[in-house]
Amino acid sequence: MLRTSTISRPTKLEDLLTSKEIARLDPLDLASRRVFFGKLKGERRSKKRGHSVEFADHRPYVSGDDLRHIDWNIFGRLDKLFLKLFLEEEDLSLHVVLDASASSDCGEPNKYHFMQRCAMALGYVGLVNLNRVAATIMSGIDAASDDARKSQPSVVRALRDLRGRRRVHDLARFLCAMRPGGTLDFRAAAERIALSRRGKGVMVLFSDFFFKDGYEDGLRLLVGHGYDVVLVQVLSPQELDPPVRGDLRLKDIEDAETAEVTISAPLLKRYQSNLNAYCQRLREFALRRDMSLVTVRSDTPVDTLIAERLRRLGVLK
Amino acid sequence: MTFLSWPFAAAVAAVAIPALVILYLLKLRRRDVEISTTLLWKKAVQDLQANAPLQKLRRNIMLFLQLLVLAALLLALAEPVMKSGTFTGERHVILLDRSASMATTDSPAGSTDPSARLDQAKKEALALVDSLREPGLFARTTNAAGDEAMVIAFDDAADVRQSFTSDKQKLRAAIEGIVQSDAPTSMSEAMRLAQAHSPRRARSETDTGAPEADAAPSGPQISIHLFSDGRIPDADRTKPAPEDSFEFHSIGSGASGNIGIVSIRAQRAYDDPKKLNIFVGLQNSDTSERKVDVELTIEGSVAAIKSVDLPAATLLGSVSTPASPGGGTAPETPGAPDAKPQPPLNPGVGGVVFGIEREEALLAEVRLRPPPGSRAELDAFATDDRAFIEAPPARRLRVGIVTSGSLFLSSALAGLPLAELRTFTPAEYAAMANRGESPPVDVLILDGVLPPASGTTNTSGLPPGRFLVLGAVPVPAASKENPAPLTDKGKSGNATIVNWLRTHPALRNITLDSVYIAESRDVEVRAGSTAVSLARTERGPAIVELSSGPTRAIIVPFDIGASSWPLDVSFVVFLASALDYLGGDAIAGASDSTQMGATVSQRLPAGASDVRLLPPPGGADGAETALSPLPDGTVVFGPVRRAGVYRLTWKGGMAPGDFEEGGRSVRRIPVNLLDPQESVVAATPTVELASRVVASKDGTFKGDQRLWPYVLLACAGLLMLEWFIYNRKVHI
Repeated sequence: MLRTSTISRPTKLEDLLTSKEIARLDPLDLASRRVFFGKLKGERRSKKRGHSVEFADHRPYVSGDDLRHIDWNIFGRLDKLFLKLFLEEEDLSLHVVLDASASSDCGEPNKYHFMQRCAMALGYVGLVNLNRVAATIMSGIDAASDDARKSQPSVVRALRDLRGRRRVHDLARFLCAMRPGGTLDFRAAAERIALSRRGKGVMVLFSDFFFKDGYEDGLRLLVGHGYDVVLVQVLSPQELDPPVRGDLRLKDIEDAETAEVTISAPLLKRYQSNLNAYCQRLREFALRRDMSLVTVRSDTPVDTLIAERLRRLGVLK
Repeated sequence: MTFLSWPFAAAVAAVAIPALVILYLLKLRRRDVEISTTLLWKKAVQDLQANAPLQKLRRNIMLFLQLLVLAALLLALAEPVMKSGTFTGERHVILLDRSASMATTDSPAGSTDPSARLDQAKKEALALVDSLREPGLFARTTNAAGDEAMVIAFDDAADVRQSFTSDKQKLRAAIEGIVQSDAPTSMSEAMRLAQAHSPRRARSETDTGAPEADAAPSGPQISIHLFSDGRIPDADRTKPAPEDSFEFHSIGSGASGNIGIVSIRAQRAYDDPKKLNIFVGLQNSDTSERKVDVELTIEGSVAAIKSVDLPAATLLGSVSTPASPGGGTAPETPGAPDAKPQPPLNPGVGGVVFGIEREEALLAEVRLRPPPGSRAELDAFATDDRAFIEAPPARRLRVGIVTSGSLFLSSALAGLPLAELRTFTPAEYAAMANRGESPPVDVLILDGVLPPASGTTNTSGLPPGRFLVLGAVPVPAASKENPAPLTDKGKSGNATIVNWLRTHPALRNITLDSVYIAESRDVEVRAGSTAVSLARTERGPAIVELSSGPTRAIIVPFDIGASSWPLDVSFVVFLASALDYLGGDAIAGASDSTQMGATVSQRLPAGASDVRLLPPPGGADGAETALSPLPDGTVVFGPVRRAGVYRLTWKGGMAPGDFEEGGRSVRRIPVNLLDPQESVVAATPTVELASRVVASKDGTFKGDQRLWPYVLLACAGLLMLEWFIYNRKVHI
């Protein structure tokens, strides 16, 4: 909730993932509730019948089929021609989207830092398992720029078509190159992402979903193109239980809007019930649109989120 | 509209307004906090405000405080008072002594207040008024009437300064308006006034007409409060009603001694009128011997100083209580069960005589001064330390006699100390009268002669002047609208004088029993006229006084030659007295000063007009007042209540002793206290009434304490607390 007082921005992979976490991530692989067709042969089983060694099914021979796939053993027993079908192994496209608006730069631990680490962990899992990994950062400021106000925040920045373990460092560099800032127009950003992506796959969207213009339009755009969308709502412990007391002028970190409040027990209670309702509405919206939602605190260990929460959702296996 | 307690309100405002401003500033000073989004907060605040009425109905401190405020307001409306129980009665009579001794500037024990006793008495009376229970704000609807009081100021007379009212402003104004008088003390009139103004007491009866069991008087009980130094000579003749309470508030110090002039008289020697003796009587009520200088000032310059030793005052033996307290109907005063009367004080007395030689009239002032070397003040009571006396001029009468020859008269007049005696024959007198002249004498004796009837005579039949008419009756030409006062009915037989006005100045100190009249003359005095019969025979008036405008005459109708009167000693005395009387008041060889409280009557010379009276300087009644003289030249004013010299001025002629100043004739009338009782100024701790002895009540008055201002104050405090908590709890 509160702006993080001091923060050390990560600069390289080791800042994002420790070796212990990497070791825990290694056995994991991406999964999707839907099975999508890949572009390249990967390590992921495809719906397409292909040329892997894994047997899938038999079907009767029709003229024109490749004679190489006739199961001669069955012809010997039944005197009928059957084709032997094998499962095709394909790659899976993983798209990680981060909300780098100024509101992400809050909380203790910092929400954006948490998102960076989760994205890195997911990306790592994807790359290691020979999946195609793309990363997009909505809003945000170039970390190399010193003056946040002078550098224009970009709507989206993307890194596409990473494949293979070698690209892990590229992904880490990309994630560390941006720091949060600016105001996010979620609908515009979602539109850009939806138009620019190719193929199908799993999209994991990290955000707090506190958009004043609403999240509905943007999510509708994202869910439309055959993507399995997983929403990860990251909330800081301070947002869940505000540590503020007394007479305050609350200032929105993004649009500098202020609210004068005198914190009292009924007000805090009202705030928490509002927050719960907000999260509940988001969850219901996601369910209706066939999206998965997981709400996490930013002090959750990254491997716990990846290895337990997302695995339970079926994003990883 | 007046603000009775605006300093209090200002003090509260001085505290409350800055406090409010500080709280307001505190509200504004909010801490800035940057948060990720205000989305949920704004919504929460809006929700809370939308639910505000429900919130307040919850068990919260705001509602509790508002209920408290309301309760406090209602309590204030009910006008709570704290009962002090000082008084039992609902009606109070405030008797305030304003007599001369209340001018004493002593202070009660333990106080250094140098104000006069009257001021102290006023202060205590005002405290009493302040402590009276006031009617409620809603007295008309709740019938909760307050205490009532009346104010009576008294010296030797009493007047009601304010009748019964519960208006404290009126009572205060009445008390503050009481001015010091120099008159002696008498309480009986004040008590009569108080009882006259008290409401009638009725015996209450029940609805059935039967009297109540105890039949107690149902009229409101009256508390009489006497503020005095206790020096009230006639206190033992006043008797308050048995059911009324009587409280005595002693003012002044009981140890105050005083030296005062208690008598003064100026007397010229009869044989040598130049010699003037002024007698001064002194009194010492101090319990120690005192030495005092007596200073005589004549017309503003010191003429003599004499030192006098005065013996100490002694206490007489204690006396018995005049009334038994166990008498049944007279309840003993609460709080003074052992009140005993003070033993009377026997002051030491002394005197001094000043002998001076002065022929003209003079105004002498006698003043007491502390002896040289003594720095202290003479005493605390200044009024009786000076006295004035007007000495008559050493003047003798000029007397003329119109006679055809009377041995008795001429020999009797020759023995009188007259300035001049002129004899006219009737023919000379008639000639002068016809020329319109009058003889240049003070008194003219007409021996069997009457002035010629002409235009100069008026309704009395005599021209203006002073006349002693012997053996004749002046009869004017009577008209219908103005009948003659005397009617001459002619001579008749012998007679003796059977009755005469022994108090008349002309007939004082004589006896007319032995006078035998061989040939009397019948005269009829018309009732209601200006003629007064001074002596009577069995047949009718024998000596008549006639006052008519500028004419004054004593008429002896019968022929004194045909009576035994000239052979009697009373004739010479009558002649001298009548001449003195007719010649004027100031001719008397001695003079006393006017007593305080007396009504002054002065006869002015004929033709005096535009008469004005100027009281002694320094009093509240210092303005000059116009007086209108009676037909015979007498002006009456009074009763005089201030010691000092009253000045009577008029336009017109002067009598002996008067002088002229600024074109007006002036006569000075000295007025002195000269009251031995009043000059004893030691305050008494008790006052003896006819039915009880009342001891002085100490302590201050404490009235019902009104609480509603405090309740309102608490209400304001609660409101502020509520405001503070409201801002602590809630919102934008």
